[in-house]
Amino acid sequence: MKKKVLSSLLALTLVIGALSGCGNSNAGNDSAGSDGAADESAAQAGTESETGEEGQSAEEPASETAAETGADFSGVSITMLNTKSEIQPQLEAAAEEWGALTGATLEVYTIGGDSSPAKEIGSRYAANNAPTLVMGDPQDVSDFCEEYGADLSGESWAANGGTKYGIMKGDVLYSFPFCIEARGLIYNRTAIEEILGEAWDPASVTNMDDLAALFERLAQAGMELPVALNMEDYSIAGHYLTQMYEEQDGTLATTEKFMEDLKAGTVDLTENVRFNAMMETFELLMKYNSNKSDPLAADYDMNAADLAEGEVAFWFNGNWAWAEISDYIEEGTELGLMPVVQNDTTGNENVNTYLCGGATKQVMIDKECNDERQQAAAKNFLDWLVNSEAGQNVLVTECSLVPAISTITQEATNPLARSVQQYAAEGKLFDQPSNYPGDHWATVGAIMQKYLTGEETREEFAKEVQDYWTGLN
Amino acid sequence: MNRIKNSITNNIGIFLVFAGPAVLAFLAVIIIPFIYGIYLTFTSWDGISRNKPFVGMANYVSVIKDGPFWSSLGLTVFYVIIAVLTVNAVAFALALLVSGKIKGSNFFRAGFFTPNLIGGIILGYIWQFIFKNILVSIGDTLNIAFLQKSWLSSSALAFAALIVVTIWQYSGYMMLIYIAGLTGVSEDVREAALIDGCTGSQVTRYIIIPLMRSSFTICIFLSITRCFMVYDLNLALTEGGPFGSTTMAAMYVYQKAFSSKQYGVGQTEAIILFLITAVIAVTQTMISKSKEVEA
Repeated sequence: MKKKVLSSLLALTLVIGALSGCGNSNAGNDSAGSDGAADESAAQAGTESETGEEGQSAEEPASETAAETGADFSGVSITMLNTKSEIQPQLEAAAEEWGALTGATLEVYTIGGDSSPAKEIGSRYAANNAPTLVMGDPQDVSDFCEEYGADLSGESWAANGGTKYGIMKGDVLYSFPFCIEARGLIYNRTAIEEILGEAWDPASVTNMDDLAALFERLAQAGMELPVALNMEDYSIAGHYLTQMYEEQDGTLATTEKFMEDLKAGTVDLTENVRFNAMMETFELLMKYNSNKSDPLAADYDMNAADLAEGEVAFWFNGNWAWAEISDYIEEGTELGLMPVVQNDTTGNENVNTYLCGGATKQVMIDKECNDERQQAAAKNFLDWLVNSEAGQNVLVTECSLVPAISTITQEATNPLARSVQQYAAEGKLFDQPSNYPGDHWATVGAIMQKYLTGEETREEFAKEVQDYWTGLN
Repeated sequence: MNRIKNSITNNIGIFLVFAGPAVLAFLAVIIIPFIYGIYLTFTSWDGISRNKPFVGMANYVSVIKDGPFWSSLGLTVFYVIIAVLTVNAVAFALALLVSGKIKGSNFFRAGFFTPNLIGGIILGYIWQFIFKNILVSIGDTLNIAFLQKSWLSSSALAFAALIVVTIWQYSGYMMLIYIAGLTGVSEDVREAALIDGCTGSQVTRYIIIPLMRSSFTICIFLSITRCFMVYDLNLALTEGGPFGSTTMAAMYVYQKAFSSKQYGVGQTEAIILFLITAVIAVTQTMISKSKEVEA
């Protein structure tokens, strides 16, 4: 009898435990529930919930600022999805600072390395538990901002870069451009000058012929394969090939029309000036690729180390790579970013002086699962980031980002970001469209890998890319 | 007293208390999403919008026309055939080896089983490192041309790599089932056969294996279903590369639903994958069971 009671009790405990776990999953609509529900949906969304409340931080809230820190949001609890996992600790600290000023609670969480922003956002919306601030890639945010995003056209920063780099649908601004990232050829000036034994000015490379001559000199002087190329599909298709679309004539309108034409099948890439010029340069890079013997075995971290230590002089990548490079670099090494130079400048004379870049992370404020107070608190947080010194510190100094808002004048802290900031300040960035097809980098990346290894010729590669575009429905 | 104990409600009550959580979990995690998924195949949902426009059979039509899906399915079938044969062969051989009266047989059993405990993702990354770095540096130092280029850079060798890691992962698990089957064969039958003049291998082939038919049924069923649905290993080891040549069906479905944002089509392909796997697995089980000997 005792045994039966005991075992029934145990079984009952199991049942109750299982049921209580399911209990709160749909309470996420109100602000109080969002904290608990964030834990609940861990089972559904498999996220890492980072709480911002790690005990009292020793630093006092930064100097009182003129911005809306007077606004009182006590009791309001908002969440932020951070898809730049490398700045998670800095964002958490910023959330605490802002929270102390306004009385609100901001919980910042990030996703694991393999998960993609789109999937995380999709599952949060499916659970009716979307975070208040959603940081996503431009094409992802572009897909759903009209349905879920709050209107940010009236914000203080909208006119100073918001509408330029944020996502606009018609006249309405839907997102805050979080940071500017640009890509091109990262060069290690110190290494080049050491190998050549003389001073070298990056401005001396004005087109592909100059670059080829430089490679030849480096090879003669001992650095036989001075370029590192990645093999990842997002690097060669998402970063390199997309420059071809964006540099048709450098304007957003032409780029978007070009994509429409590709979908309609009216473009012949082998006749396209920009395609041929870029691929010629790519073939030059392939020729001097340090991973030439097995391009697909290229390792991202090895490439970073090689560039930082001066084993190679050039790496095609973007300023975000600083995170990896900084692990290996010695004090005093000079790095910079330069455009991917080409020989033919027909149709766009700026290809050799402008970088391709734009806001690569867009922060949208959700209006479907968050109420008015939460949205207002979120807007306040963005304001604080832009307009207060403490917030600007977070963006520029702590996270080493290049801000997209022109009123932030602090200088970036790492050499690559400084390079990009200079190009941005001089207006030398080509616009970036936010509506590339979601599977572009993966599918075209696989095709481009065949080109990278030499399994396909340039013509076959062009044909397959054209087929990809016409195959989209 | 007896009447109360045997009443239906009492029985149902006991059933719920003990099996309730499991049934609940099964319903919530498998049955309900499955039914919802079938509903989604009739919509053109993009995975994130609130709208799920109804499109009838359009998804099924487009799946029939979707060439890459069928070729990834064909690749998966090819993979399943090779994997099932090799995994079971290796597992059975290991079971025979480990069942003998050798010292530390328990240690070996545990050792061979451990790879199965490591999740597919971590396994994939470990082996990726082995193929890309360790084998290549062995090839470089000893000048073995075959190993100097990473296996994962060529389509055929990447496929072979997948097979190797699959064998490594599942042999241990299947081995345990075979061991259980082996110990289930009574000693008397074996001794009788030996007395009658069979050699060791004849005993294995004509006596033991037929008596172990049910183990074979189970193992082949498990390996077929698991290999058809392979995803985590695929993702971690090759990511579908090089050039998308080792993209198995599950990975293709996932990319279709989430990267291409065509959730409805992806779901349809998933249902088709499920149907094909189910038909094959059930057929195999029925054929095997009809041949089983009830000892």
